[in-house]
Amino acid sequence: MRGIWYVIESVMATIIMFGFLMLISSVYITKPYPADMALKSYDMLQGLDNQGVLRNYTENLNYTGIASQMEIYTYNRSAQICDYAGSCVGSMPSATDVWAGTYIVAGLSSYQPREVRFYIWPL
Amino acid sequence: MRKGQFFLLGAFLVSTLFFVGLPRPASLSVEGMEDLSYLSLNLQKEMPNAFNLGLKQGDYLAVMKNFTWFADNVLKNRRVSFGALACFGSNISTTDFNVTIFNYLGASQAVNITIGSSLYTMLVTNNQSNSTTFTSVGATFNISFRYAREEKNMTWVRDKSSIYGMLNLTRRDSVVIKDFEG
Repeated sequence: MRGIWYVIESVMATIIMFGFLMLISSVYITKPYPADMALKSYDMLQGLDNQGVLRNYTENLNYTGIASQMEIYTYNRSAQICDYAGSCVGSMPSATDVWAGTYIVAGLSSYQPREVRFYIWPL
Repeated sequence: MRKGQFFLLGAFLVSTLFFVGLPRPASLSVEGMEDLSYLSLNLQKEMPNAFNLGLKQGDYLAVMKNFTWFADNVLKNRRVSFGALACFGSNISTTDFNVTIFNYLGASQAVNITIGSSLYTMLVTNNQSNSTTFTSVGATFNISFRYAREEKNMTWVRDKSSIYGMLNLTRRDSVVIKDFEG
C-alpha cells in the first residue's frame, strides 16, 4: 500500500517537473515569431504622402525613389508601382518573411491611377 | 528486479500516459484587420482627388467610375470588399443645379435628395449612375442626402462642383465606413 502512494507521489513530481520544463522551453527554446511589419509599411507610405513626396515619384514611376525615401533598421525594402492594367514596375522580393503595404494614388497633375506597393523584409 | 524499481517504472509509465493524453492547442493565426484603417484613410483622401482630376479632364463621372473599379480590384487582392456611393453636384446654368449619384454599394439604392423645400427620390441601380436637375437654386444652399441608414446635411455653393460620398471596406466581420467630401 505504501508503495502505491510512492508511485502517486512520483507521478505528481514528474508532472510538475515536466510541466515546468515545457513552460520554460516554450519561452526560451522556441524561435520567436518575427514582428508584423505590414502596418509599418502602410504607415510609411501614408507618411510619405503626407510629406507631399509620394505622388511625384508615383507619377514618374520612380519606384527606387520611393524605396530610397524610407529606411528601416535591420530590414531591406523595395517598392513597386502598378497601373490600372495590373502591370508593375519595380521588383517583388523573394524572401521568406516579407510584409507589404499598399497605397492607392489617383494621380498628381492628371488622372493616372496607380497602386504603390512597399515591401519590407529582414536583412 | 526489486519492488522499488517496479514502482519507479510504474510512475514513469503513468506520467508518460498523462503527457501523451494532454491536448495540444491548435495554433490559431488570424489575419489582422488594422490595415483596413489605413486603406480607408487612403481612399477617403483619394476619392475627392480623383473627382478634382476628373473635373480637370472634363469628365468627372467616367473618372470616378474608373477609379472606383480600380480601387475595388486593388482591394480584392487584399481580400477586402469595397463599396461606395458618390454624389456629385454642379451647376448647368445660372440657377439650375445638377445632382448625379454613382452607386457601387452592391445593391440598388433609393436616395432622398433635399435642396431647400424640394425633395427628390432617386433610384440608382448598382454600378450605375443617375442624375436629376433642381431649378431655381440659390447661390448657397442646404442639401441633404438620405439613403439606407445614412443621412448627411451640407451647405453647397451653386457655382462650385462638389462631391459627397460614403465608402465601406469589409473583411470578414470587420467593417470600416468613412465619409468623404470635396
